[in-house]
Amino acid sequence: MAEEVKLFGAWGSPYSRRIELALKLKGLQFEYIEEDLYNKSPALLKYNPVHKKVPVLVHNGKPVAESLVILEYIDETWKHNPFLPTDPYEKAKARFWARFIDEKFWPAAKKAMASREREREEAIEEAQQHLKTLESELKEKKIFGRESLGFVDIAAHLLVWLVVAQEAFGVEILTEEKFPAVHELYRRLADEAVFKECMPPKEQLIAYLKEAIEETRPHLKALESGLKERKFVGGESLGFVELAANVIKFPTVHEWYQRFADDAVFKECAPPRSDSLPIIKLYLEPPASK
Amino acid sequence: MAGVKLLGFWASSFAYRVIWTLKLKGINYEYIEEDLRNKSHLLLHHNPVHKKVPVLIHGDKAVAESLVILEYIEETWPENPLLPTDAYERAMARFWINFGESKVECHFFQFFKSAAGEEQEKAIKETVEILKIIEEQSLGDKKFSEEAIGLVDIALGWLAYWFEGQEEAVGTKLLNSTTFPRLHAWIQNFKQVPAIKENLPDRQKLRAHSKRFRRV
Repeated sequence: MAEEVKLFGAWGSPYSRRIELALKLKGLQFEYIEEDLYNKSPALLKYNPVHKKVPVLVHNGKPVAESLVILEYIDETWKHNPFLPTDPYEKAKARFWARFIDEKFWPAAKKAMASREREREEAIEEAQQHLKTLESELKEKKIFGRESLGFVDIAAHLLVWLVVAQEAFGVEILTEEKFPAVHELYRRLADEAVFKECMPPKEQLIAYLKEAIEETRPHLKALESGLKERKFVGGESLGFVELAANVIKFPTVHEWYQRFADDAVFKECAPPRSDSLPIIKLYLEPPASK
Repeated sequence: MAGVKLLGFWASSFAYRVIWTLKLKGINYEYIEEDLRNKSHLLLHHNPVHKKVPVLIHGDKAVAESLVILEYIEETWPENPLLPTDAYERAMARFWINFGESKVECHFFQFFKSAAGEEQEKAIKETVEILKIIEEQSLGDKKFSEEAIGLVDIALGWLAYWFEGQEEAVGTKLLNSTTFPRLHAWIQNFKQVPAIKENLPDRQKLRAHSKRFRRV
């Protein structure tokens, strides 16, 4: 029977790229489907009704969601070039560190990128605390970053995103001076052929990250202070806010949007989301080059 | 055979996941109660990263993070398996285990801590959404049976006992046989399994503890 492997992903998402990486490391043929995260396909919504997110792996019609779950599934289904060790204790350590990266380190790093001033300082400190932990683990025990690249290295691939984001936002979290061992791992991952293939081009990623956050920031800031003085009534910026609200925290704006979105009369009069988004996208797209 | 120790806390549903798993597998272990306000050297030494319970110490190996511990136990003592053998079924199980976990952290905790008013309304709404997903998609048509108890049930076990205390502390009952019939039935069945029934913290003590915790 022919194997059918599909991956629903997004080019800018480290979680999605992680799975591409895993499939390539296993030498597997797969069909890649790029998802527009502001206009999710019916297929994605069907295959991941709970979270409605990428990545989703569909193997012979059966969907698997959540990147670490997908990684384990891939490793168990295609047993050559294993990512995870066979020893239960070594496996436990690998799972522990992958979770640490995903649940502790990355959320703090993202927060540092998205926030400003005091909040940013605190987030940077937190992210660096976690890097310190990774640093000593790498130095002493070499759980990951060994000869053959495995489960934790795949999870740690998002370090490459971090370094790009640092440049895009002018934030310093991971530096070679402070965290030599982690930096060395980052270098290995950035230079490794297969990992390189699964990285969006740097300039493209910087532009994407900047647009998503920087371009909208002054407008949202204006909205935020405007709403506090209750100047804004209209709903033309509705989709705009929704788009960015996922990325940064503007609490008053978000609450305002929620009130509108839930109001029965407004709902009747609001354009369908799919109609307003193209307009917003037009606004956010860089001018066409000559 | 190397000895097994479990560092836990009497009120922690995370620690109980490990207790239930050890009991279901018939593994002998020594339980060590931690005072979380005065953490032992043993805990800090064996879980320097998070400094939390539960921690499983097997011989000279220490494993932290309850879900990581559960998988470690499953793989080290494969008798009485608690995960399916089929890779896809395992992926489904892991998905639901992770779902329960991630929701506990943000939404249920928000529910528990929420102040009356808008904050609570929102938290209740989100909690109900999650219960609905579990009711309709996770439990689905699955008929619970004692033989079929697995890591998904164990990972969601806090819903069967700790959630009640949270509801009481907040002052609102969300889960009953009318609102969530499958979930309710699952809870009743789950609590009847001897390994579970015989290993639950004292109800009154737990309620008091929840109330105290909420006030902080």
